[in-house]
Amino acid sequence: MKPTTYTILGLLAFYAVVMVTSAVGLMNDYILRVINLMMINIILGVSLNLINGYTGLFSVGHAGFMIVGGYVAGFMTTLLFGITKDTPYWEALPMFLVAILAAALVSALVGFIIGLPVLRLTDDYLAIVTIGFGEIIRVIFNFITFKKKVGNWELDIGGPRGLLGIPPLSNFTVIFLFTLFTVIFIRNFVFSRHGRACIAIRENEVAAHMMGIPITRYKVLAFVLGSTFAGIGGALLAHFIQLLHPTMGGFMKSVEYLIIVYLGGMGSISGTIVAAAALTGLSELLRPIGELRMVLYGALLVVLMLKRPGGLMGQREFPFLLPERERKIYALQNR
Amino acid sequence: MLFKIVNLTHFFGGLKAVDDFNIEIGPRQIIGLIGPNGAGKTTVFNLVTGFYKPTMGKVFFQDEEITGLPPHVITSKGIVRTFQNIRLFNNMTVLENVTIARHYRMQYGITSAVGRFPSFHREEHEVEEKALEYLSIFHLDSKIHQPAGSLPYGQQRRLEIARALATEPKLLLLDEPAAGMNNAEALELMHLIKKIAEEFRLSILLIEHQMPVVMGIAERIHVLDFGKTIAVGPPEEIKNNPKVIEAYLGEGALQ
Repeated sequence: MKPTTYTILGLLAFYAVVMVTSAVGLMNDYILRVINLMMINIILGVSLNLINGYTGLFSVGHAGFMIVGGYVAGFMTTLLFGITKDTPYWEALPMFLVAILAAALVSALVGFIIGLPVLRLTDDYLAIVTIGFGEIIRVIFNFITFKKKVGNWELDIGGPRGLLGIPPLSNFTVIFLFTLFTVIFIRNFVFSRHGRACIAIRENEVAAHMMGIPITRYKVLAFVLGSTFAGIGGALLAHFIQLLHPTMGGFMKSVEYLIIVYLGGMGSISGTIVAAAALTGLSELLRPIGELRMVLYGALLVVLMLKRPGGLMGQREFPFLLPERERKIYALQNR
Repeated sequence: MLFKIVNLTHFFGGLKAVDDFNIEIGPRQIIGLIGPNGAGKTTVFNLVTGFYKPTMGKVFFQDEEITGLPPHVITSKGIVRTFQNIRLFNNMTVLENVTIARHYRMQYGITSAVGRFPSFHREEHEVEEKALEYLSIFHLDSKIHQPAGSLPYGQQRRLEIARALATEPKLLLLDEPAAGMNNAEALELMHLIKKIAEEFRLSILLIEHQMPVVMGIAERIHVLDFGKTIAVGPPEEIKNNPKVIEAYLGEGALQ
């Protein structure tokens, strides 16, 4: 059997095990929720890694793009499509997919509008602008409210109290498929001439430019692609936790995704997956000690950065995540 | 005329870094550009390749004006340069360093990359073959999967030239390719440069500090001092030009 076959079998096995154990009650809802959350964080982490890890830009506004996607999809399903908890799932699903697509497109557009002027300059500006962007987004969503009639009541939707009552449309299958799509998309992108161009820009911008790479175009491309997947992640998250709050687009949330990328390894999809799963799991395990876990979190990061400054995986990948050609090279390098 | 610079002048603030520089390079010519530190040699390269926009003057390549175009466009026209301080993609493999140079000649789009369509596989296969050709010329084909940054200094220099050649230029600008090499290594490199110039039908503009080297291969030498061209001519003439000796050794050195 080819190595790729093992990867596919492994993924199918993972899917089957989760589906069966949760159906027969061996796995409780809480654990399933944590698994789903891990996968959403993988989407956000891997997409941020494309921007910060592979292309060497410094975006600090990933949560901002995430929440743009979340709000777009959330407003669409609750207000435009009027989906409620009671809508049959197979009726709601196509509308949900349309909402996710719209979320992706709007996030991409916002990424383009921000990226194009800023990325013509050097990288430090991107950090400042994306911090500002996160704050602007938070303020904007504080002001966007809609009226919605529920029975005899007229409710305010959105605004500072957040967007409540989003239908729970993100189930394990949907999240699993989108995570798979994101990882495969970004992996195939990275291991192509386009990904090589991004990595070359990270490695040496001047030389990349001289070698014929239109650097501004590739920086904007990486930034827009990363933002697009952040929007998809946001749409999934909104319909998973069923509420959105403007503060979720803020700086602190972006830092969480940054930590995932830096802990896992800049320029390593494998590392991001491990770090996203580990950090999501860890913060659940440490829930009993409350806010103290942030202290532990910080200590852990300090130790890791001292011991492994390149992150857990550096720029390496698990062989099963690599395309065939790169896997052969990996085998040669590690003979 | 393959390449022509007319009245090129560039200011950094109040400093005139390049003052009315003119040069003409025909097909398959090797021309030297020398001068003491800070004479403006590298600035000329930066102006030609689009890293700086000249204050005044024009650059022509194959009868087309290319003044002020961005570097990646200059490359696609057929001019490429190496750098005084080596600029490789250190964490990428030797092979990837050369395939980057073929980027602008490749066609497949993002959809083909993500979907792994036939065009992706075909072009990736082609680019690898092509890159290996260039690497074998420079005897780097046994190191293709090593990170470029792990190579010894001399091989990094050679890789940088191989990478530049892989863009298939018509004019190659070499910025002190023999820097940091001893005389024997430098002479070996010069033989290699002469060989590739013939093999690839290239014109070369060469900045070099090691006189025996540049005297050996350049058919004409331009000498810069404080941005001004103080002498132009064949190596023998330059060697004995009092102005050039003065620029290098200081005023009064001849008395």
